[in-house]
Amino acid sequence: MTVSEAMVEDTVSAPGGQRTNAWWTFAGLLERDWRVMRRDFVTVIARSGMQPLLFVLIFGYILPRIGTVDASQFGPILLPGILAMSTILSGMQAVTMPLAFDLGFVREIDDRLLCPIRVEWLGIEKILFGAFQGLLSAVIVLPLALLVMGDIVHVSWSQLPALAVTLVVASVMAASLGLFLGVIVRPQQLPLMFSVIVTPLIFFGCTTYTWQQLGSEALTIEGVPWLQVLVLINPLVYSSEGVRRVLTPGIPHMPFWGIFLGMILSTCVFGWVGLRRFKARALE
Amino acid sequence: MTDTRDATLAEPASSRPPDPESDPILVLEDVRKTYTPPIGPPVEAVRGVDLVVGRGEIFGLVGPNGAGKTTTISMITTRHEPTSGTIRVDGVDVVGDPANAKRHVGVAPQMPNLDHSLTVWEILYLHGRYFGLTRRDAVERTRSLLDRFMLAEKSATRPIDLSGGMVRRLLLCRALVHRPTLLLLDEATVGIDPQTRRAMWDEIERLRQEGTTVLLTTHYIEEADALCDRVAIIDHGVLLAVDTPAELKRMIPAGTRIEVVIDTDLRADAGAAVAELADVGEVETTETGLRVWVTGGDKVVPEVVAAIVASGAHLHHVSVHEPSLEDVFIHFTGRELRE
Repeated sequence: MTVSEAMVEDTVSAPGGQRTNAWWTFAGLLERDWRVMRRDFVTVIARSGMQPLLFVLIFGYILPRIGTVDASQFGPILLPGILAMSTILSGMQAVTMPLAFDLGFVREIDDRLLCPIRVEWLGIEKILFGAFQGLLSAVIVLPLALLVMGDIVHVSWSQLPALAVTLVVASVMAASLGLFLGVIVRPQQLPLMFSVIVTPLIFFGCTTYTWQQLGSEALTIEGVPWLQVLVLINPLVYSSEGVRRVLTPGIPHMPFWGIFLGMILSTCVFGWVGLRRFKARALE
Repeated sequence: MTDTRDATLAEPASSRPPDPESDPILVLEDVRKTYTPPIGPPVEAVRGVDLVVGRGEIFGLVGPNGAGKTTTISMITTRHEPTSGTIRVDGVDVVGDPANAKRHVGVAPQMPNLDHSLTVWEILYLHGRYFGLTRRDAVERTRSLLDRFMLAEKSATRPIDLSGGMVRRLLLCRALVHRPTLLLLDEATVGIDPQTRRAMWDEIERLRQEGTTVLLTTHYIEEADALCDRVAIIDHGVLLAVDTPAELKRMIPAGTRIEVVIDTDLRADAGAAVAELADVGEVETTETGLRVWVTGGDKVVPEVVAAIVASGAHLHHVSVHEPSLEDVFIHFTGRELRE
């Protein structure tokens, strides 16, 4: 940015030194979150990486070695599930946790409300930065998972572009869900949120089994695959199946249109309701 | 309380700022704000305020808690939308174009709303970035404000570890980072020691000299008197009077106030005796004695004292008060400011 550029932009009657394009404000908000994340990096990593790493350790290393599960069969199902789960969990928590406090008793959000930008954009920035953190955790978890299970699941470089696209969409979805939860949950309800929302999300997220398997006859009632239908409300299901489709295409998975539709719908619904509620809560 | 600004009484014309209407920075037209709580009747916090603040003025909004000061400020900062009426900051409509209006306004709110995830330095630097300052400009601005408000050594501190006075100074710094044309100070000197308050007054005066317009709310009457070019008295969401402190003091019918402490059982007799004197305006009975308003200044005091003694009452204490904004406030609202 040169001085002359700044002068060209300052055509609106803003006081000296201010560049009035709203993208500068948006960039400032991202810079703020980047600084905060960088400082608390260890916390952020521990928060988003602990659960996936334990899953990898228990299901990918310990259980196969003591013979409880068959590594060659379970590994290809597990690895994509773990990757999806870590992306979703960290993308979601990156938004929900700070936002619940921001909007809670201390009302830190009031500081950001001074920004010369529409209130909705504060929420959109949270989604964007949360998605970034979701991706970051995928980048950390993937090599570690391959370290443990690399001999069972073979990932080639040619799979990476499709994987990246899937994970980007999944993290935006996760961050939208995070915004939704962040605006409906009060800080004192956060522990409750983990037991009532996050835990079922993980266990019914098709991380340690495939969506196809939920349709097996033993789980149907009078021919109705109720569990297979019920888990469709869980956004994690679509990302698990999406990553599976890319990384281990040999494993039966949900059709592409189902994955695509599920992710887009979840993103729109959670994002839209989340942003609306965010604006209302921010200005209350 | 003794008035310390008698000098301005003598020459009000020179201390009076140019006509605010000619170059307005803030215009409020019939602004109203009604809150509708979930339970109970609607609350009319602001009930039709018309106000023009001119460029370069220091303007005071004076009233007790709950008078509508903070609500008015929060509507100017676009934090709350007015129920009706228009507000323009430097020509920008705050409802129609809130993002642009915010660029002209800097606010130090009554309730500190600092970003607790950041350090003192980051709070100022990032605030500059939010307003589109270049990295270099934001760094430079942060440095100079931290120096100016003696916070430089607290750069790496989080707001939670600052004293009350430092928080107030930091709020003022943050309000100034983006070089606003209108500075809003909502009870900016509450909870700080008198010395720091004096220093803040000096800074506010300096800011005005640098071309910033200041709108401040306060319930410290001496603050409004010492600082403001013009003052609005607000109560129950209505502006009761708007003028220079000097002009407002002239509006009180009887200038000097004499507070007398006497034996309470003889208050009525003493009051009647005092009321008969020539230069005495109103006489009120108070909890401890009498409040006497006189037009003749100090020289009436001996006559008042003589009349009380003659009535048989035992005189404990006499204090003489030159007209102050406090009296103006009592005159307009019928109650003391700090109630």
